[in-house]
Amino acid sequence: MNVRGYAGGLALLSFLVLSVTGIILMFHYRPVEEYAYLDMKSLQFDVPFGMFLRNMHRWAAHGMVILVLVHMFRVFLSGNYKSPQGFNWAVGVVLLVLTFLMSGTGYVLPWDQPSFESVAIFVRPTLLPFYVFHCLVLPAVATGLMIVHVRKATESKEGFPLKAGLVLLILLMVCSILFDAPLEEATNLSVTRNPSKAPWYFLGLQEMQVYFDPWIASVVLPCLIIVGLILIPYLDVNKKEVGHDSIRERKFAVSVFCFGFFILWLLPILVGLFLRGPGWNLYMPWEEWDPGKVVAANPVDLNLFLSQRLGLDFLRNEVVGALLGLVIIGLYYSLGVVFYRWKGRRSATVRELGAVRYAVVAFLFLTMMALPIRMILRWTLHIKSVVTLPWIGLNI
Amino acid sequence: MMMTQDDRNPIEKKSSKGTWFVLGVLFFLVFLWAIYDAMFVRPSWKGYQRAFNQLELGKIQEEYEKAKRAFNAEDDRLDRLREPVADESEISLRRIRLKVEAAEVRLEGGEFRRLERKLRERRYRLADAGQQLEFTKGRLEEIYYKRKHASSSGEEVAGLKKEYSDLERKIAELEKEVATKEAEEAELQRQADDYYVEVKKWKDAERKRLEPLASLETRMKGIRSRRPEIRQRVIADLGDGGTVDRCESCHVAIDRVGFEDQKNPFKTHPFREQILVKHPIENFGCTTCHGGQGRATRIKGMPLGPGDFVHGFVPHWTDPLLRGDFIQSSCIKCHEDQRRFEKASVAMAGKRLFLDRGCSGCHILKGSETAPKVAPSLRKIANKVYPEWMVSWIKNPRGYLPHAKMPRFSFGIDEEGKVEKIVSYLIGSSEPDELPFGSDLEGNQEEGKRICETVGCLGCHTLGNQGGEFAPPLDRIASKTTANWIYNWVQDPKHFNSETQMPSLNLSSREAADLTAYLMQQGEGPQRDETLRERLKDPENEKKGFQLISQYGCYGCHEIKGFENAPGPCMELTAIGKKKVRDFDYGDTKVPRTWRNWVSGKLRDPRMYQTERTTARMPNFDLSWEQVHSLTVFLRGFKEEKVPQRLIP
Repeated sequence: MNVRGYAGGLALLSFLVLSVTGIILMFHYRPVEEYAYLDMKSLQFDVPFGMFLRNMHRWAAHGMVILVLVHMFRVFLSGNYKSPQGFNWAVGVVLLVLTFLMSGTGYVLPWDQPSFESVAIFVRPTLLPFYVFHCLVLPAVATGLMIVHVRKATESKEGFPLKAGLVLLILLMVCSILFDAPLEEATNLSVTRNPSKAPWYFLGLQEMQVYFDPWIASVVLPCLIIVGLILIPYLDVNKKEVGHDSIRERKFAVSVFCFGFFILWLLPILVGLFLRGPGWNLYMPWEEWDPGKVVAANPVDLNLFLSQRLGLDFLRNEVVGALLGLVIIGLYYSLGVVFYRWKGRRSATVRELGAVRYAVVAFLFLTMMALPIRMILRWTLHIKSVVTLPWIGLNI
Repeated sequence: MMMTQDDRNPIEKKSSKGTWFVLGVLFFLVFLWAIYDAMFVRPSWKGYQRAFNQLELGKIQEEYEKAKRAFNAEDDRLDRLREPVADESEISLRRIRLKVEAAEVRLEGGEFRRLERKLRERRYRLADAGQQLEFTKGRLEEIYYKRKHASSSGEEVAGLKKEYSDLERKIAELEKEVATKEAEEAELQRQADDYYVEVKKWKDAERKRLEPLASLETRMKGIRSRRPEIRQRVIADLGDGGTVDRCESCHVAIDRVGFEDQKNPFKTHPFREQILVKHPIENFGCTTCHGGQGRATRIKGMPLGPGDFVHGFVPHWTDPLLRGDFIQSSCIKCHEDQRRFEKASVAMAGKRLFLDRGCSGCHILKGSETAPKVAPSLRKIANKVYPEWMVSWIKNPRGYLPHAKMPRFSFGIDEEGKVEKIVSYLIGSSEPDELPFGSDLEGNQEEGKRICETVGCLGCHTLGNQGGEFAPPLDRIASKTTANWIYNWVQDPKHFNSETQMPSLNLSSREAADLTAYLMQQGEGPQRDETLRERLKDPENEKKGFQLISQYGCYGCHEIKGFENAPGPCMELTAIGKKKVRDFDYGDTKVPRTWRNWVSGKLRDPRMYQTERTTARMPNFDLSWEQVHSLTVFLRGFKEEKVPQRLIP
């Protein structure tokens, strides 16, 4: 059996399973706050095969998210995103985002406590919009894009992995028999669980909220990730042969991607999923969660830190502090220019990229590397933010 | 597109047939498993219903066998009787059946056959005549329509008119004919019936004889034809979004007499007569009183992992089945005012304790806001007791009075100082009161003793080893109250405290003085502590005392000047029954985290959850474990549930 190319096809199969089970579930669900949870209970205990269908839907949804991620990683490694598949890669990235959104909106529908809290972070919770997006808008758009994506991709590729598909279906059914989809207590507006965790695929972003403003962690970062991913085919000028054997020839591209994918994306998800407990404190899996746990953390802003270390009181001024931070960020990004000047002449790759593409690559790369730098600053020097702009309520 | 790699690879194709087969079989088996799981494993109530049906069937079968034996014995007896007998019920079944047979033989005879043939022929003729009559009537309607139509369009109608009247005449004739034929048919039928009457008579007799057995047979047939079905009660106006209780899907016989000695879930409600009949399931459901997850139909959890959905012992179900005495906590949701309540004696004991110890003085509890303060007013306390006594009393009331109602506060660090500050405020805020009867006492102890024993003091107060327990003991009163105060109090108790239950004894000043002299012999007078009295006068201490009183809520039980409208300083208990385990603060204790443990621990030792940072303020009421238990049960009932008016008697 050849494992290559399975994930994409299996993700498609998961989507089909989700559509079928989802349509049947719609017959037993009313998207109204008063009834939604009760309908969940009747699915659990009343409707013939209700729990089985719900389990299938839930596990297939998790499966689809995982498969889509694997698929993207595999396509990147094999270099299949390169011309003429650049556009299809972009469609794929959009489908990835749609998968997250479909899964995320579905998370709200049971209207139990986690559902409610996952919404309450962003907006005043109402059920109907999530229902319409989950059941109609997002699947419709995703279906259209999938048709485009699959047609383009299969022009030159192997067919659908039937055997693996059957295995997937068997696994999904076994999981649905053995493990019930969680349903916690009915929504109570006046309480918040501790810890209140988002669905796992958003935990990376929630983990980033430890280090960044919510606005940056949940809006700016995702946007940059999406834009960066879409741009990859247009930035990668390496014309080396497509396929696994070319990894050695694309050291920079593969290592940067792997770093971003594993260290900056999956690792925080795992940390958020398994190591975070009440108060978003770190707990080892064998430690008992204690809501009363206190961890002394005394982070300070960079300008205050410097003024204390250097004995320069004028740095404490808000305006001076903000300017200082901006200057530091400017200096950080000018590293790209320095590198261009220093290496630009001798490196064939840099020459091939050209000034504009080089600038975009440098910006995205430095932005990505800023995350671990920022995290390390927080762990070692307890720097809360580099720039504080109280006038627009933003900390960077 | 649906082409696999295998199609292009002949070597793989060979081996793939085996793989396909295995996968196909596996898929099919898992599919069957899913169906089996959804139809038989998850709805575990089906199994219970089947088991119950077998149980009920067995019971009836037993009854049937017994009835049959009795019947046979009786029938044998009747059979031995000599014919004829007056009453048909005295004829044995065998003989009845012979009679039926004989009557049926007559029906086979040629005479009856001829009669029957004749009757059949008459019936056909009658049917023919009736048909002709119907057709003619139809024709009449048609002509009537034609005539009307013609006359409205101005055509010739004379012919139609004639035809109409002809038809009418014909109908009259036909009707007469039909009537004649009907009479003939009825006559023949009567003749035939005579043959049947005999059969019917004996068949009825047979049925009547077998009736006791037949009803049992019908019941058994009914049970055999039962299919498992969800049995649920839907009560729209109970609980959040309506109560749906499916408990009876397994507890089939809960409201049926005759299953008292069965095991659960097939048992009759143990208090069916006393409780269930008065709270019909169709009005109250089950979970209203018992808790649990009414909608759930699965007794088992997932195939992997424990869990009892229906009784609510699963994560995220906040209202699990109430067990043991805790079921009583449901009674007080509605039966608030009942003082004596046999079936909820524990909860009611808790309620009495709650009122008696004045819990609602500090804790808000909906429904008992207006309860009177349980302890004496302190507005005029300075006139009554010695400051030295007050200090030792507050520190440990039971040191003076072994059954004191007043709790111990355990003020912690600098207890002595805190108590002194409180006393300082109490004395400072006490209203000066001129003693209405002055203080000219020069009494005779002997006379006082006589008065004490005759006027009825010992009806309520204890002195020595005798007397009642309604009012405080007088054994050590000399260390507590001043002579002046006793002298004035016994003459007019209502003067100091209009709420007091002590009656006026109509004593003269002379008698009061004697009584006072006698009482002042009970116990030793206080050791005057001048430095203490000096400290009590310090306004700084008085101010701190005010803060301490508001912090510890002394005014919850006592009337104290300056705290007339102060709110209860403690946690509201109105919804204590549904407070979640994770919302309790367990301090540094290792108590297993349950609702019951926290509440009973707090009641038994109010300081147990205290840490360096948190100060527990609730005093220790020195409750026994039994008292703690009944209070815990009582408090469990406070879930802020709305009970519909229609259910409140």
